[in-house]
Amino acid sequence: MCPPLIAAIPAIASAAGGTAAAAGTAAAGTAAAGTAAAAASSTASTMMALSTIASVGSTIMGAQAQNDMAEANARNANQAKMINDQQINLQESQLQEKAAQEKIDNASTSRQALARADMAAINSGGILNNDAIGQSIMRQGLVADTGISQNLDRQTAQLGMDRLSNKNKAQSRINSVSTASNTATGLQIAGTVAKNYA
Amino acid sequence: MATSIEQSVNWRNVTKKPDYQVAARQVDTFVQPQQNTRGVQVAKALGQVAGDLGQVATRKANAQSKAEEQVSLLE
Repeated sequence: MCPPLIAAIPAIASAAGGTAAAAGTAAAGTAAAGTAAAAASSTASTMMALSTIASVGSTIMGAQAQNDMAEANARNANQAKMINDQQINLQESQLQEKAAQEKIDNASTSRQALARADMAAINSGGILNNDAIGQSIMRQGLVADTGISQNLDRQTAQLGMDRLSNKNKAQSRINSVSTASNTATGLQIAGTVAKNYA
Repeated sequence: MATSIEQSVNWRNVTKKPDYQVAARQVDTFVQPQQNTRGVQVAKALGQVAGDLGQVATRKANAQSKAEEQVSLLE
């Protein structure tokens, strides 16, 4: 239903009533005065009823449209949040995969170096009792692993903040469009009826 | 063929510790409060009803004064 058309209905009805009243006035004093006045009164009543119905319909349709808009807005906000969460999850899984790969490469490098050092020690006869070189290689590997884990933890913590932001953004979007109040709608209808018929 | 550990492997730099990566960045966590709440809608509707009732009261008062005027004219 077109809102301007609905808004124009009371004016149209009022104008029609005025015209009818003018016609009734012009006909006063003639033999048909009583009939014309009755007809004008009937037309005005009918137009008033139509105006009231249109106004009430407009109020109800407006409330319904507002509810529909709020529902669609909430649905779209939730959908956008889901997609954003999926993107964050994808990013997190890729970061975890990258860190795991780095740790695997790190472990492989360390073991290769350790084996090479052991072989060299055996071949050269320079075997240390405390295995200082082997321990250094292992320590370097562990330090690198720790660094990889710490970086991943920081990135994961930040992704948690991104999720929080995403959630709050969705809530803000939902809050931006509210549903219609039944009380307000009822009051508007009651006001319209009272104005037209009281 | 290398016969020493130094020649066989660069054991002092086997693995490199990754650089410290700063991951923290600012995020917006503001939650916009609900707009056009039911209370606001009811308040607007009450204002509109007040206007409507005011019009009704004015109309009634005018009709009453007109009737009284006609009565006084008849008298």
